[in-house]
Amino acid sequence: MNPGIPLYLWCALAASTTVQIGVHWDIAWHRSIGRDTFWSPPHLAIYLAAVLAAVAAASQILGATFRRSSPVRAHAVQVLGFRGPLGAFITAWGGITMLASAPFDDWWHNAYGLDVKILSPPHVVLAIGILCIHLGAAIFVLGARNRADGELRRRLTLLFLYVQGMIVMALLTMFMEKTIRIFMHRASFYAYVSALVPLVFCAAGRASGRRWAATLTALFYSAFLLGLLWILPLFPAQPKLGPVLFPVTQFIPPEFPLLLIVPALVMDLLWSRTPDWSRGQKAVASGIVFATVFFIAQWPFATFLMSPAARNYFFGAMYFDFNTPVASSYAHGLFLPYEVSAAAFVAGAARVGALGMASAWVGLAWGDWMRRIRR
Amino acid sequence: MRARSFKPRPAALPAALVLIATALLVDGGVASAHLGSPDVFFEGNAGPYPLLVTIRPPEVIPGVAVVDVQAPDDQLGLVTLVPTPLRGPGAVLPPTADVAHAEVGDPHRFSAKLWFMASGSWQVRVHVDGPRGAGDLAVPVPALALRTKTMQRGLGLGLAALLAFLVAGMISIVGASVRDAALEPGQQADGQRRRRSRVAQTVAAAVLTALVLGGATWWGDEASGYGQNVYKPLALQASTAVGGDGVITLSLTLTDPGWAKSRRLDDLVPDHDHLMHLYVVRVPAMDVVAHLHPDQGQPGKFQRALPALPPGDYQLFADIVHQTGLAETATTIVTLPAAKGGGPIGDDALGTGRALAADAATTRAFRMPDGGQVVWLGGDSADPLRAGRTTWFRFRVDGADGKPATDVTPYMGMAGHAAFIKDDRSVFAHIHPSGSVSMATLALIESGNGSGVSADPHAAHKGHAGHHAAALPPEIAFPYACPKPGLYRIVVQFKRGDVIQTAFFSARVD
Ligand SMILES: [Cu+2]
Repeated sequence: MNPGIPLYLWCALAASTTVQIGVHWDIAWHRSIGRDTFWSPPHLAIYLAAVLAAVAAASQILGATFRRSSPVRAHAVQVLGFRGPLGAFITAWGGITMLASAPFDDWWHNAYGLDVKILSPPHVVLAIGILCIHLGAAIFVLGARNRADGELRRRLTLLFLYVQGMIVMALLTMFMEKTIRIFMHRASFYAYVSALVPLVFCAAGRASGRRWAATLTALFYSAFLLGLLWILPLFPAQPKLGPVLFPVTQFIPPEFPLLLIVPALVMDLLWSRTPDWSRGQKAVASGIVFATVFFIAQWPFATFLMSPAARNYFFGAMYFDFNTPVASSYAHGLFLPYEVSAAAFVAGAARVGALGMASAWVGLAWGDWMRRIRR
Repeated sequence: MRARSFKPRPAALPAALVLIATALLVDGGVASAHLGSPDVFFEGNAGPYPLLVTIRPPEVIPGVAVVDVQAPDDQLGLVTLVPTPLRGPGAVLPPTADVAHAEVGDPHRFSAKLWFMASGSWQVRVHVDGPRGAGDLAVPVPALALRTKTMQRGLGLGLAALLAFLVAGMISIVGASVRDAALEPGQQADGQRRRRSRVAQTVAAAVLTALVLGGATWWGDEASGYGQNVYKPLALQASTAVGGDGVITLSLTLTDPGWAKSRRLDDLVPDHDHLMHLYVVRVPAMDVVAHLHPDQGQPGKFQRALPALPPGDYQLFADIVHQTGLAETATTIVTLPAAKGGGPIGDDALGTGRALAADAATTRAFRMPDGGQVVWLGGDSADPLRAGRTTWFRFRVDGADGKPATDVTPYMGMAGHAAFIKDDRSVFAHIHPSGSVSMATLALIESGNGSGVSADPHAAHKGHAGHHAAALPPEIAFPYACPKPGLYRIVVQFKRGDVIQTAFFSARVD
């Protein structure tokens, strides 16, 4: 541990990491074991993240609010009468929202049944809470970074980009059902990714001002996901819930990471060559570059992922949920049919490009604001 | 002639009081033909061990079923339970089995909780191990959504308060972000920042309100989407017409109120040789009961000439079984005028007993018109009936000479048929010695069971092959648990020689 980085920041970063581990552990649990309780280990990991977030936030807010002499006061903001760094409040808000989603989710299960889908109202409440844990951690780190300089500033910048990688994870996980590989030859897949990812890359680039910000963000995302992909299947798991349609003997990990690293590299190159462009120009260029390069990289890679050559430990295309019908296109390595006509393809491409540009613009504006954060 | 449909008061008929059926009948559903009595009772042999299995299906799907296994004759070492779909690939790869735990103080009784993940036709595979080796038994269970749940007031208020706090907190955070976040440490916000902060808070309040309202709409959509999966029983309309011969013809029409697309009215299959088993029960006394088998004209339309029934109000309970295995009970009320009777024909039966209200307590014996008697065995006052507890209802048929009858023969393939009807008519169950699963459903399961595990009921009660006239034992037993406390009428029907007889009992359930 570096003495220059305060403990509460490590705590916030641990919350950001733990929540992603917990969420993916939980998803793997549902895909392999199927049955869980309110107190299952993955759920505990998720709640632990909320507690870590609360501890990080409270350590700053309590002192700043109740001790006049607290050094935190100088860089505190005021929320509902409390004082503390902005990141602490966002982190606390995320933690409380996550904990609030727990009884709601439990009730939802009792009323409407188990986790049949990721996108249910209580899960969206949880996802918003999780996003705010990440966002709070990012702003926590950024506030400290923007007040620091030298080696500490450099390290905090790297940690900020790590949290951006976690934000990419969190956003794509929310739409996991819509972005698995059977969709990868469809415009809808590229639309989801182009709407979500350029925002984070652009925000990371602008807020950090660092070279290769998007590439580092994509690296953190890819490394984390590869870790899950390669570690989770090492643990045995057996379905405890029928109908079992596919034999499963170990935890089912997430799919191979999207090739976001490729458009990230090109975006970083673009930004390094165009320092004087306006936000609008950058947004248009970044959006188009992301959408195009990602499409060019991911489309053939998806074809590879569907092939028998990808059904191995490294690429992990041989893992299927216990309730994957053997006759499904997913199990057969077939894409869902893509856009039927040229007109539909052009319309889809236009949509993807527009979403990419809009996402980039929001990300740039957001990043510009974040760069100014001092508290 | 006027017919009115039976519209129970909400108090008399809670939301859960619907017959079980499936929302997603992908490969056909199994249900027991009952009203207000969703539990499954099944008597069968797992290898050498006779078992009585009770399954209380979950009310929401996915949900938890409670399974109770009784081995009255044996000390079993191990009982494991695993639910699988009845057919299809899910029947081939069972999930990890649950070990049922022995009940404290009752070595013959095991229980477990089982998850049912999807709606439809399921089976619970029971595996037992004991001193005489291992055995297996499969019990068909319908897993169907019976209701939607509303939120408890306390939880709702708590979550609403939390939501208000979170909304207020987020508005304040947005305000602080705009006002203070970019200030160098120690600086104070100026008037312009404060104004911008107020604008931002107003915008945040509007956006959050829109988000909360949007979320509420989404929640409502999800809830109503689930609500459409909740089982809706078939509607039954009844009308009567007096013919030139003075005999009443009862006409019945089944209509689908809209539920699963897979439910049809033109796919009924015979159960004990009949497409419909109709119980005609005089109400409120429940002192006259006819068990008739109307003939189907067009799909969903049935007719029957009525036997001599005293005029008055009658509750009709019509049992039918679909080709998918789904069994349903439709009900209505009809008012019968005074008329001549057509007399029971074939398997039809008519009986008269005492008014239910006159039997405030459990009755033990019923005197037959021919001088014989049916005696309800066991269940003495030291062991009162309890709601929800599976009990063997044992009856012995005695002849006019006072000795146990030697001429009991199968009646529609069974040693006997019993109907359990609660005094407020919120519960109706048609039970056989093998339990609550209709014979037509069992036949469908045996023909389509890909699991390799037999769903055979106890051999002694085995169904349709038994139209032979070989005499059966004088004792007939039915496994059942009255679902709630109150006064029940039990109508037991059996055959002596060629004569179908009907015995009436009352049961007080605590
Ligand atoms: Cu019967």
